[in-house]
Amino acid sequence: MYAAVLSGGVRGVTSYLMKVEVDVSDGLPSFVMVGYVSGDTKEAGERVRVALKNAGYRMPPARITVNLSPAAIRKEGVSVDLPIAVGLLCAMGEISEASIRDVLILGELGLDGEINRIRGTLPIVTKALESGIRTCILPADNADEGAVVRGMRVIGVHSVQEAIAYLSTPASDRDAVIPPAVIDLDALFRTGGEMTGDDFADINGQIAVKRAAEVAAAGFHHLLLIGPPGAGKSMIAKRMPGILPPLSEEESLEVSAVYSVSGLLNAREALITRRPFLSPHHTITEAALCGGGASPRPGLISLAHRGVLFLDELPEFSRATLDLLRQPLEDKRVQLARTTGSCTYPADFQLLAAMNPCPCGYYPDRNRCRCSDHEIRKYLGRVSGPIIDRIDICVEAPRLSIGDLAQEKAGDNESSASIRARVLAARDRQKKRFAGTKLRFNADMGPADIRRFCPLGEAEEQMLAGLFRSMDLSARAYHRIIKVARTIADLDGSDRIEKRHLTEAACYRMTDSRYWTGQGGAYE
Amino acid sequence: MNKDDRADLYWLYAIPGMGLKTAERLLDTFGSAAQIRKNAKRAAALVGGEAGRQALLACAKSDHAERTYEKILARGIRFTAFPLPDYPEKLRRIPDPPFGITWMGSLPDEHLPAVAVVGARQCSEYGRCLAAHFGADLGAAGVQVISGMAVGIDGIAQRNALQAGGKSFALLGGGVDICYPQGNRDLYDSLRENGGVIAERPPGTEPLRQYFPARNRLISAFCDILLVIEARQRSGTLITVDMALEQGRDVFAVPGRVTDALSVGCNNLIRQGAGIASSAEDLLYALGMKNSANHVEKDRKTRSKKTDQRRPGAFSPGAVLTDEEAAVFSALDLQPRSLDEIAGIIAAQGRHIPLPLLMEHLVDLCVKRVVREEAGRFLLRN
Repeated sequence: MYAAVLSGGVRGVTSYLMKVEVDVSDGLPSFVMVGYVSGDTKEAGERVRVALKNAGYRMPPARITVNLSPAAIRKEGVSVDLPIAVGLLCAMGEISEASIRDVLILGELGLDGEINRIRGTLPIVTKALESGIRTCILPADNADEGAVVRGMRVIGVHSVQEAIAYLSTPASDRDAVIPPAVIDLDALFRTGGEMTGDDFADINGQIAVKRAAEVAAAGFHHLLLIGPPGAGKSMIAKRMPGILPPLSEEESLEVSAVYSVSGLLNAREALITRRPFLSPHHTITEAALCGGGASPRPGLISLAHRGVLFLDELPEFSRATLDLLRQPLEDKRVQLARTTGSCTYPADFQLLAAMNPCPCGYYPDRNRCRCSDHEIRKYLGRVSGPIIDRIDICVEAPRLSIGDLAQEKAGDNESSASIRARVLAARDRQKKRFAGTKLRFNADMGPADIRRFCPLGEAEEQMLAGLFRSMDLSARAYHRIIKVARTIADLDGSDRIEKRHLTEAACYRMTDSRYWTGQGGAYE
Repeated sequence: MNKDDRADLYWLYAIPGMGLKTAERLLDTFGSAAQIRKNAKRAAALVGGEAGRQALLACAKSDHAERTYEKILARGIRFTAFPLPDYPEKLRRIPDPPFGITWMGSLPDEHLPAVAVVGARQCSEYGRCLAAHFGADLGAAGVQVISGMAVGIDGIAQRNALQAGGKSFALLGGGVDICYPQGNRDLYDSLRENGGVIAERPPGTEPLRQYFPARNRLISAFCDILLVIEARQRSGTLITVDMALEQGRDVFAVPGRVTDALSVGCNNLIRQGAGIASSAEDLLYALGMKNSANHVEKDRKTRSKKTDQRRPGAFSPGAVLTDEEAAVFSALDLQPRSLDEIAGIIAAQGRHIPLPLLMEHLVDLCVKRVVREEAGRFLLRN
């Protein structure tokens, strides 16, 4: 007796459909699983046997063979428990073959027949929809996640008995047994678009940093905050998601797919609708940051996809860990190669970094800082040049005076909402400008795009040349200044990049020219 | 005067730990360095300390003295020792002169005035600016600038003295052939051309930190006036000051603001009676290179116009700057200020300049080379 059930699996965030074939034939009683199956998947046999027994079905004393096809892809995970059980019941004649035709089934079994939540639902269901499948049976905990995919009939089941009951019912009456899961996407995005608790209005002073944060948010530029301890760098970083434009539906699905394969979507949160904000401690390992493992799982840079990755105390991160960011910062994805195959995770995040200017933190305040130039260089040297090179905006967060901190005039501080309104307007201008291209934000522009989208007037060109001479800026800084100036012009509502946009952008490059070019003071 | 060959004296000098007292005792006993070497075992008995005895015995066995001396000569290193006639008189007269010194380039001319400029390694912009001015003005006036080639005040003063066409000499803590700090390699090279680098320790000696206090006494020994620009309350520079006072040199200090940690040492020196150096002319006057009438005259009239033109912050804004730029300019100082501070100062003056516009003005001022940026903060360029 033979039966085939449709199921699926993920590799990275790309998913594939899988056929679970079950054959029950005469012979010595045995249970064999084939089809490039990994250890954890192979354990399914035992779970299926006991779960079915406890659900009131006896496995026939026969030779049972399960094949997961295509056999060329390595199968990992526990989501094939339920498909195997259903296939077995079908092969045993308990369920009709017609009832499982074109139904995608996923789920992990408990010994009592309960169905547990699985990882990777979202990408698999999306893939199924693309392949023309319109019904799927998922663990009840994953039902909302699956229901996010529009056009898919998602049935959430709590136990194998429920699944059998559903499949045994004629198609026309099925909705009465278990109604398909529905989810209100618009409501999800409405709540996701709301502001979080932390507001820029809480921050006194720091006008330069707030402005830099606004520019960074508007153009999705990477941002580096340099300042002494207690200047409020982390406070500002935490408020960054609040001024970023809300996730679009398309972006949200991309982000949710990563969370889905990581098993981080919970039953209450079917979709990630807020921009992720991750701030790993500096002891983070290379694998945890970029993803890893024998069967690679996404790292924090992928979980921060379309969101903010905040690295506080940047020089404290191991240099090897930081250098791993170089390729993802450039390619906006990370490819992890293993002998069992390679997988790619998206990693288009906004890097937000904070650091002290020197080991003691008070440079250039020579009244407090006694670090030697050598010590400062050594400290800054822990962050490699290529990383700094990819950061468009660099700004100093000065230490605040008591007067600034005590200031209670709430009206003086702009709220995140009003900053965000400007960011959204600038975002719209970018969307219009980049319509028909792959670009999304000004920060995505390469040199060719800059020539195309950011023409400079003759006067501006000359001003920039003068700026380079007098400030010793590197050639690499050139493109970054123009990109940032483009964003500033967008915030300003200007189609042309004008002088004041360039000078402001230049200010955001100046900080690092002193910090990282290794040049001494003017007299040395 | 004994008949000692320079090469034999060099051999004696190059023995690790050999000081003037031991060397003189040995020379008195044996008559010459060559004799000391021949009677190394007996000589060793006269050396105090086991390490010194072993060093002498080891050196007696090693390479032929002439060859080592020729080797350093070939490398452009010169040597003199206390018993020799060309030993600098200024050194001979200090309480604790070295037995020998080696140098590259030349030694300071003892007939010309010399000023030692010393100060903090991690100096402020104020110190950096003044070190540059004093170095340049002294160099241009034909005063030899003596210092320690360190980062910060020392190096800046020497570099500017050389650039102004003057001569400058550095006293090194290690061997004369080792450039320390490495970052001042360019200064080391130009000092050998237009001045010299001098060391008490034999060539090849690593610059260990314990050698530097002793080195400091040579900085003051070679100078007529010691000028201190920026020193913290407890600073290595103050060792040099003590040495200078012991050697009878005049000490001048550049006053600073009482709130600056880097000026506490200098202000304390002034309280204790050091001369106040507000410009190189104060030193030239003390050296007798300017007569007093002239000096006071300058103080009253010309100085405020002429000298101060080159001083930081003395740039007259009205001529070149717009009204608003002038407001930004007046909010700046020699101390680096952050954008927030500058905006605050301008606001306190009752003006409001939006941040992007403030940045534009600052960058403009940078392009006009009136203002400089350091670590995200802005300060006046001198």
